[in-house]
Amino acid sequence: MGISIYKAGFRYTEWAFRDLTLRVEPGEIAAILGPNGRGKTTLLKAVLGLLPLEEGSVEHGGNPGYVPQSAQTVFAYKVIDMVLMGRARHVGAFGSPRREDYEIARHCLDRLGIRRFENRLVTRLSGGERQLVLIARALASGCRTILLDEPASALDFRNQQVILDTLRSLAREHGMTVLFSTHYPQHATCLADKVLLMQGAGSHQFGDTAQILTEENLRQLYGIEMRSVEFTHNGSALRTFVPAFGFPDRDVEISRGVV
Amino acid sequence: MFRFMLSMSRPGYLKCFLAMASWAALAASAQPVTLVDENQRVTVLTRPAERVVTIPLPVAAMLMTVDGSSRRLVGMNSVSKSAIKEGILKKIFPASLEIRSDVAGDGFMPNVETLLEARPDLVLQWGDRGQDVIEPMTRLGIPVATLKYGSIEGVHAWLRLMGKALGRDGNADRIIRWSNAVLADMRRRTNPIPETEKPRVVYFLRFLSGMQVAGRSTNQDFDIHVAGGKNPAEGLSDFKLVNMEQILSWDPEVILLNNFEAGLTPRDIYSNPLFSSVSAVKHRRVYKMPLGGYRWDAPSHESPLNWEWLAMILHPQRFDLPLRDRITEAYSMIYNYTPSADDLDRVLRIDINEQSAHYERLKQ
Amino acid sequence: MSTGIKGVLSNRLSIASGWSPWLFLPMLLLLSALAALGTGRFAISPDKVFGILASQVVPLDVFWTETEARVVMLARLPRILMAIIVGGGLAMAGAALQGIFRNPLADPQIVGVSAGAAFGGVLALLLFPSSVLVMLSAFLFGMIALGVVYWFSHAGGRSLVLMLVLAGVVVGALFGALVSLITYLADPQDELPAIVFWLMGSFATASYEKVATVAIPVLAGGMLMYLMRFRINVMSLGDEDAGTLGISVQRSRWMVLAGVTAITAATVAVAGVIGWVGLVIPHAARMMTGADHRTLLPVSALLGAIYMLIIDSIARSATAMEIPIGILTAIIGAPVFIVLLKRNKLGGWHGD
Repeated sequence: MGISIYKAGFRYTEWAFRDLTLRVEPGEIAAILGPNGRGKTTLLKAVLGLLPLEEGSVEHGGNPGYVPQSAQTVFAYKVIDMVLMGRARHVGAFGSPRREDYEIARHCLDRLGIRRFENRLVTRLSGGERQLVLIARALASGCRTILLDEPASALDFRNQQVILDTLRSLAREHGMTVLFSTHYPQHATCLADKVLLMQGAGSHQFGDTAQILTEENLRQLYGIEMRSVEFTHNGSALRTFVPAFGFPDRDVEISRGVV
Repeated sequence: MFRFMLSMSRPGYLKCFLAMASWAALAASAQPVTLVDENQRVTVLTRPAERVVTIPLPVAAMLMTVDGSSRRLVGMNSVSKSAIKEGILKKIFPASLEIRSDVAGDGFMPNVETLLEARPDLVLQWGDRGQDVIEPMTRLGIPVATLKYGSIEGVHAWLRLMGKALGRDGNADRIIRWSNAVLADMRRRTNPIPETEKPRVVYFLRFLSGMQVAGRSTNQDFDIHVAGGKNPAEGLSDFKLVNMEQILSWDPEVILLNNFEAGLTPRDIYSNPLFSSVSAVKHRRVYKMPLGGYRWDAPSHESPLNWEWLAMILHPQRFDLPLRDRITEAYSMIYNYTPSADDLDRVLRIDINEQSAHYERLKQ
Repeated sequence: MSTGIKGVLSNRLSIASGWSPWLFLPMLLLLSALAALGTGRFAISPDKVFGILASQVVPLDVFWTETEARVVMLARLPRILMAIIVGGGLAMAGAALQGIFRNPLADPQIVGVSAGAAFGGVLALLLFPSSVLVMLSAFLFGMIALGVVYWFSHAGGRSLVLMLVLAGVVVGALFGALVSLITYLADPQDELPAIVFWLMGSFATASYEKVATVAIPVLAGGMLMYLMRFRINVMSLGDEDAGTLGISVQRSRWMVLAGVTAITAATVAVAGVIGWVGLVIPHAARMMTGADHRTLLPVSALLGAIYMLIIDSIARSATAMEIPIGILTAIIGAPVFIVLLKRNKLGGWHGD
């Protein structure tokens, strides 16, 4: 089923996005790139159905799972209890998780390789581990599509790697549709089949990663100098982009209009 | 005085003029009056007070009593007024129902604006409730004399103060002499009673909303001892909330019910299953306190009658007083009023108490 | 509490550990209740207390007096039942509120319900002094307070927790002022003492009628909250997270609030405004069992019942006079709360 967005528009007072069309197939990964406050989270919420679209439509096969940017846990729940909450949709207002819910939750922990944390307190985990718990919680809902809001942004490199590998495996091995937002072009180039650039005010670009991610596009998106870098590993080449921080010449002329 | 005139409405001028004229007439004969109240405050009046406002509750009744008239009482607490309406005073001093009662209310805080309208030349106020209830008046130059709440000695001091302020020392002294005489007589007769023969008496200040009993240093404790009773609650000071079990372990032989909770009658006690084993209930010795010129619960100029009533209730064998006659005599003396049989029934609450033991003697 | 040991034994209720609160707490409650039945100003020996209790179910030779039987069955038992119901209800309501508001300082007074119920009771005391009407009016105005809070906080289609708390504070202050107005208008000789007594709160006037009056709403509200125990977990993640997990946050929250209101209004109606229980007990319970509301709610209820029972037993038997229950809960509750804060940084909150 995947995700299919057609001519979607949403606004609070100004348009967060408009006339946005994209399609992500099952087994595919799509990344959303864009500066802060240009509608990335809004789009994810709209796909979830938490924000009503003003125009256009969204289709997805059943309720997507969602991994928030960070879980501000007020309460020190155990990992298993946290993951069980992913079953909320199935449990009902007056119900409590049953044996099969526990089995599903444990299975999800297994899938992410964190079964050993089952009875730890969430608050005692590292940032990366906590992110995995939140992914497990999303998976526990039984979703075929998963949306992640900057899943790796606040993590160290090792943990970023873990999360990215997890996303890859969800798509490639389990055939899930993955849509995530990020600030790092590397995340997109190493992982994503499709990329959506969101510049706000209804301006965006969607397409295959290789076509969309160019120095020029990124420069316009972020308003700073971006450089393409290529490195090889075990014989395969990987092209990616890095911000050119610290260049003596900061007067690079950049238009901030339509991409 | 000029200040008072300024604050008056137009029709007030005439009244004011008349009042000043009468003062002028009195002034020739009257001496300046120096009042020293219980708090050692000195108040000097150029002549006996003509327009008095009373804020403490029992004082309105006492002032009319000392003066023998309601004429010089020009303002009182709204609660004093309701006590007059409930009791026999409305028959003794019918004009008192017309006296304004908006000069003070809850908390005894004077309403200085209405107080000024009443044009008092003396205000009687509590002296033990802080300066806040006094200063608003003294700041405006209104003479204030203060009273302390408490015992029968306090009541005598109030009577003396009012007698002096009104130039009615004779009336005040007569009531005090009577009160002292009855007190001495009661003590002479109750002191020899052996402790074992003194009944345990519990007074309920509240019953319907939580049981509050009178502990030591309350007027009710004083009255109970004067009349030859014991107060099992004297281990507590003041009025305290107690529970059923405490009452049961005290096992009072006589229960006295307050006059403040209007609906409360001995039936409330008799019909309560938890009380059925209490001695006072077994022997039907639960009584609602009488209500005369003032509630007999509280210390007042009618306290001597309360001691006699209470002694008859507590010691029916020892005391067989002609109480109805005593009340009639006392009312003739202090109010110059002869109560009817109906009046007496109402004061003694015959209708409410007649189911209780030893009460037939108090009937006609 | 070591989570390692707990982990091995965890079952689907996830409460298994070295000891089980399900065995320990009910036993403690039962023992406290029996001890309380044997405690009071009127001395009755324990064998007689047991005899009187046993004689209710099996015929026994009477070796106690009629009075002793009445004290146990008519004075102590209803009072003990009332303390258990009120304490359990308030603690459970507090635990649920702290969960859905994600706020360790939330207690049943925060949504203005206590103040509304207090106003309803005081109004009824002024107008028609019948205890049934006082309770009904307290309940009714507790519900009205919640309705007003709902209406306030709902402006703009959705209600945020912040708006809800603000509205609760405003409504609470409003009804508090109305209570003051009524005490000002009341006859200081007759009505005012009754109002003050009622507001202060006491179990001294306990009776089986009052037990029934308070039991029905507390059990109904408690049942509703217990059924929603897992939903409260989800809501405690915050509106956004809970929403993305596919539940209707608004509706769930108001359902929990309705249960809290039923409990609060009913307890205010029979025993006045009793503070601290709904605030302190959930924290203590969380230290014992962790944050999971599926265990926290019933454990809070049990702990609250035990706490209230002990407090009230002190209030009625320590001295000849009744010690006001609100004073005791504050005197004991405030230091306990401080100790909890200092020593354990409130177990179950933000880690431990």
